[in-house]
Amino acid sequence: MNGEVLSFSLFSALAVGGAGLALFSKSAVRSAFALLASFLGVAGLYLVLGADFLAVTQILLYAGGILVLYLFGLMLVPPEGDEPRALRRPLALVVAVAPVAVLLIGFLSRPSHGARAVLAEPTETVKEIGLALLRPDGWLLPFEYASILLLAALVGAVHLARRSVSNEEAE
Amino acid sequence: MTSSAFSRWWRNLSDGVISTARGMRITLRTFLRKPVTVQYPDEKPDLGGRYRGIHYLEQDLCIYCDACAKACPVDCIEMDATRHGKELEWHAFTLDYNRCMLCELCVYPCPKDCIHQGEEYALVTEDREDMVRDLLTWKGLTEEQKQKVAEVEALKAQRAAGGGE
Amino acid sequence: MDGNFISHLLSASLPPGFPFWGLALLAAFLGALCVVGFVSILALVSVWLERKIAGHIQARLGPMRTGGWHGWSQTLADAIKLLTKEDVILRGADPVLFRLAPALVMGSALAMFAVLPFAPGVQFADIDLGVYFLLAVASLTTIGVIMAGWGSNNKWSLYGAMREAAQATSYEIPLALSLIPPILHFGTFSLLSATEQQSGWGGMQWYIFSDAFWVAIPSFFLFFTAALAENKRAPFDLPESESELVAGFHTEYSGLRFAFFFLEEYAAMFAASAVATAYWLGGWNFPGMTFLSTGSLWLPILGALAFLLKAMFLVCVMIWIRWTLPRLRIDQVMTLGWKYLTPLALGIMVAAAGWEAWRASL
Repeated sequence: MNGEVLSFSLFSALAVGGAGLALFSKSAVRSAFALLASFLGVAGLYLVLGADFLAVTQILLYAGGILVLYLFGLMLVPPEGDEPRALRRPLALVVAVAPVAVLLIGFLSRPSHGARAVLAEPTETVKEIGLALLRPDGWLLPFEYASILLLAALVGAVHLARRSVSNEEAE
Repeated sequence: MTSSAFSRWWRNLSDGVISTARGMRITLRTFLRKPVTVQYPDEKPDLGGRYRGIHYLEQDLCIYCDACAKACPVDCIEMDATRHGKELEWHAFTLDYNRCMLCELCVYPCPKDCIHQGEEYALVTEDREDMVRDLLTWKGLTEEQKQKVAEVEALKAQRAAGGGE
Repeated sequence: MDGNFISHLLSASLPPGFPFWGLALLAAFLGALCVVGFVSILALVSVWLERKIAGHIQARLGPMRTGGWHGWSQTLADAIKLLTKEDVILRGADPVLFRLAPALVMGSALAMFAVLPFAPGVQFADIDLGVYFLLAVASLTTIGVIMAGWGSNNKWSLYGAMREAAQATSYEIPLALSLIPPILHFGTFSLLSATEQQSGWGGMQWYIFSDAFWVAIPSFFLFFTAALAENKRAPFDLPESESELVAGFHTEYSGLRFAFFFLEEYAAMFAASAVATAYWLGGWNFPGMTFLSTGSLWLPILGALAFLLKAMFLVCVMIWIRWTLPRLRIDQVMTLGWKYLTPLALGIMVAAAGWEAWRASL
């Protein structure tokens, strides 16, 4: 057993275990914290693949940003004790199973299934990713498109959150 | 954003920076100043010379006139002595600090200026009885006094003997 | 993996057939031990400094008795007291989260020390991502704080955790944005490489003295302010504001677990100061270092001394600010973060990008 296999199994166990805990935990806040383990496991998997920038971004964005916002949201929501388990709702079952099934079919029907991807040892991932994102012959257009989409979402959120002046005066 | 809102933003910003800098200058100045703390049991605070602390008595000057005890508004001074001619044989000169309010009224009437209030203020005791302090430095007759009394007695005896002649 | 001085030392002393991952694990373990020791001593010194500075700012003396000279061992005595105190876990607390939170907070604080370049050759890992990794790891402390607040099952703790969540996510943005000017200037995330690029002019070519000083100085102040807020230091110590929340997120913690939160605060303060030192204040570079030959043993020693002095000076400034400014209100904290620091950081980022692009085009 070499280090790569060891760390891969460790991190994937962490990712899958965290996800499982998040699914089956009864307390919403606890499942959010279980997601942290899952995020860290996925970050570790990225590291094993040599994508260090992606791994750190995973931690920074998902663990440091999105998870904190999840938790913030969860704490604002009053706890609901007798929520029926999601599996009893047929629609929820369909919504949950369908994407997994699509993914599985896609994965199993791929001809290269089973072959191990050969990875070049990346040296300067940051530089490469930066150049790929910002070069006109690279991913500049999708990158800018995503930025504009996010900006639009931001402006929309600000507009929705803003109280109108007349409302404020009425108070 | 209107122009007034924009200028208000800049003013807020510069106010914040300037007031923070000012506050930090003030705290720096205090930081560099000598601290006022007195390390109490090791050092004694400077009480300024007119402090009315625990009394002390210049016993050799005292004439057992009771003026201080009479002046005391709370009757906390008690004294007891036997006169041997001019010499005083002191038995007690107590001051009850349970009652004393350190008002200094006992100090003024003293004709010999022998009772004073010092800078000592620590009155802590474990027992209420200990609050009754004896201000005497010695009790009874000193050797010097005994000698003087003996001289006087001898003189008296001599005179008595002479008178009897 | 280039390895650091620990792995070099290990690979020299271990038998040749030793597997590489074993060596890496061993080196990591020893490095972690070093970091724990360093952080403990650092916290002892910083807490003592905090008390002395707080005292003198208020015209007092601070601790004077314990240990003789100016109460130097007061924090040592406090540490022993904390270690021997009873470890209380409430019946209503979430047993897993309550126990996990201090470990997560402490672990992420210690991980930050892995990438700090203390002196030439003294760094645990010079990874390409340097400061980016540091930011990511620092954001994990936020999760730990929220975990502590939720796990304590106490409304004050929960309030503290909510404030931390709101504050940390808000200030992460100006914090990261204010790091962009030096990153653009040096063209690297690596703190080591940035430090090495500041060694010119006889050890004085620091970023704040370079030709880009006019963006360096405001970005330094922005970074410092955002780092104060990110580390929950006064005037941004709302998550633990003792006047209204008892002790905020660590109200229910006692003994060693409380000590972990305490240690984390000082470790994070030092880490933020160290980043500021490495990016803006020249890292270990000091004037006169050019007189030392490159292989000299004095270079790492004096370099580490210069680095520690600069970082500790910034820690002292943080303490100074704490004893100067009163705590802000939560809406003031949010206003400062979103309406002032974020736009300013964006503006400075654009200015720095323009300047660096113009310089590169020359």
